[in-house]
Amino acid sequence: MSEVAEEGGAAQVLSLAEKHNALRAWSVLGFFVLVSLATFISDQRYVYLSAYLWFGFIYGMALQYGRFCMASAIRDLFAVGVPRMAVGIMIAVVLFSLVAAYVTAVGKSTFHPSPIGAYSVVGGFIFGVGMVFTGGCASGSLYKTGEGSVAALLVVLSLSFTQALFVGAGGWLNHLVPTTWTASAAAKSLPAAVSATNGWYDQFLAGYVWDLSATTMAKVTGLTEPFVAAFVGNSLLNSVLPALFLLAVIYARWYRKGYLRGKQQQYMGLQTELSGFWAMLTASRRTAIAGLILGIAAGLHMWVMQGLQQRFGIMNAGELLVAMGHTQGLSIQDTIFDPGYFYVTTQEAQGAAWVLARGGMNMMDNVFLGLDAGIPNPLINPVLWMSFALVGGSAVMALLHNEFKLKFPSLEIATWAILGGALMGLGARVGLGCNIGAFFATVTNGDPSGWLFGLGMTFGGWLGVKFFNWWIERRMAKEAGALDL
Amino acid sequence: MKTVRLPRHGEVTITVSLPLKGETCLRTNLLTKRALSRARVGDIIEIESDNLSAVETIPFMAPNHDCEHLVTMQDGGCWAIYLRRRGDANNPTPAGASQTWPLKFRKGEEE
Repeated sequence: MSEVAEEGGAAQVLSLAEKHNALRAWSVLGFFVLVSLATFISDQRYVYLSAYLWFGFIYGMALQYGRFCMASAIRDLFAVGVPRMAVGIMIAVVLFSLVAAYVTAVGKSTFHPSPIGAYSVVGGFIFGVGMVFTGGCASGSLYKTGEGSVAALLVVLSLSFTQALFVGAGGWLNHLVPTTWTASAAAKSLPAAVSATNGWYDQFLAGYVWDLSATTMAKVTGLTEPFVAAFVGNSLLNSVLPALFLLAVIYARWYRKGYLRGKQQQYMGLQTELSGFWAMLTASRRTAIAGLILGIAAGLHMWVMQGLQQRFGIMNAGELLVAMGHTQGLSIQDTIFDPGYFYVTTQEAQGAAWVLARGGMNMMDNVFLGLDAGIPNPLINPVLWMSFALVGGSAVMALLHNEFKLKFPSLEIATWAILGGALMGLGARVGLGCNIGAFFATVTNGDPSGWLFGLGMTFGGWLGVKFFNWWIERRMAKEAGALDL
Repeated sequence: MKTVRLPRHGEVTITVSLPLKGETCLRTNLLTKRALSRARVGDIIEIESDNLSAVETIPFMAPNHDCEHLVTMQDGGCWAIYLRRRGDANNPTPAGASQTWPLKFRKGEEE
């Protein structure tokens, strides 16, 4: 048994198991290097896919290092009063917004704001409940899969297949569609192949979401000079100030009391409060470092993808795949899902849809996949490369710290993983993204809709904690005697 | 009762033990919260977990329950976290509660 230094640390002398873990870590890294090199040698345009891959790898390492998880942020605050993760996420939001502002100001951003509407709150709410049930958000479940958690893998699979099935589901769900959505979807004269008036999600997208307007805080404030619009409008107003406000609330509600209790010096008013605020920001070195890396990497990711798009003269990776001779699985517009920044869930829906299509199901007769995202083979799906590499990056980090462990869930935990994963899948589709695509990447790029998703996700998480608290209390009452509590 | 030797703390006797391997983070955290809130002054609490997220969070829970984090030990893919309930055994008042800090307690809490 070795002592873990503050917030983790390595043993002084490498044991045989540790040497094996290091070897495994280098093997995983070597695999991704080999994939990048081999594909690049076969066709240089594969560098576009490798860019997604390596950013995914960095995200995986940072997420695992910081145990970065939005489910943990909300759950730890409401369940046990620990603000560590919520603080780390706010740090990442501020840093990502600053890098994104620069990238936007120099015209290298790939970001497109989402329409603003109540759907974000509803989607976030469903997603928030689900992620508390599973114990991990969308990105959190991916990195935990890399740590060897089979429960997290079940979450990813459940989330993926639920989305794939939901986006094309019609039947009785059509009865839940308001007539105004149907009329609006029909009026758009979309190709018959996507059957836009058959299916709840088709009509939700084409008849409701597309009629909403999207904007950024820079546009709302009327700022036009690129740097002022990006840094003041998008970053300061939509990210930094809201993040500071939330940090102040977290400090006052969850951190201050414990900090003042443990403080030995005399109370010095504002000076003590600011010291406490700083202590909260730096309380978890791991989380703060992970937030810093994620924030910077996510901003740079947009810059790199935009640069590659310009280099290859494309607007979407579908064009690149066609040029490379891969024409299977593209949407009817010859596009595939290609956000150009950190994203989770849609690519997993594509992967699941691809599997279901191999089983004989028609997965392209809907707006989401048939008209936009497509279902390319996972082996050449650029954004899915990011998800695979995220799992790999997490595995490497876990192996290097001897934290990798293959863990199989109990039946109860597996049930919650599948149920919660399904809710996360539904929430992600209704909210047009998950904790990353609909929150992290949006609030940091000046899109106010991200805060609506965040609001719903927080409320859903709070409700999920309340439910789980009741559930666990009920279970603990039976087990308390055995644990002598 | 089980005794263990901890770095910088010597031999200590475990008074509350929570074997929580295989549990989710939320369940681990809630069971720990329950144990910490019921601990008596001087109690040494040992929590065994293989959930990294919970292992990371638990030390941060300690101050809110007048506990101190002694050390976290790693054994392969499992961790043991050791916490001690602070305070003087002859004076059960929680540590820090009698200080002159401008602490604001919610209605109903004792100052």
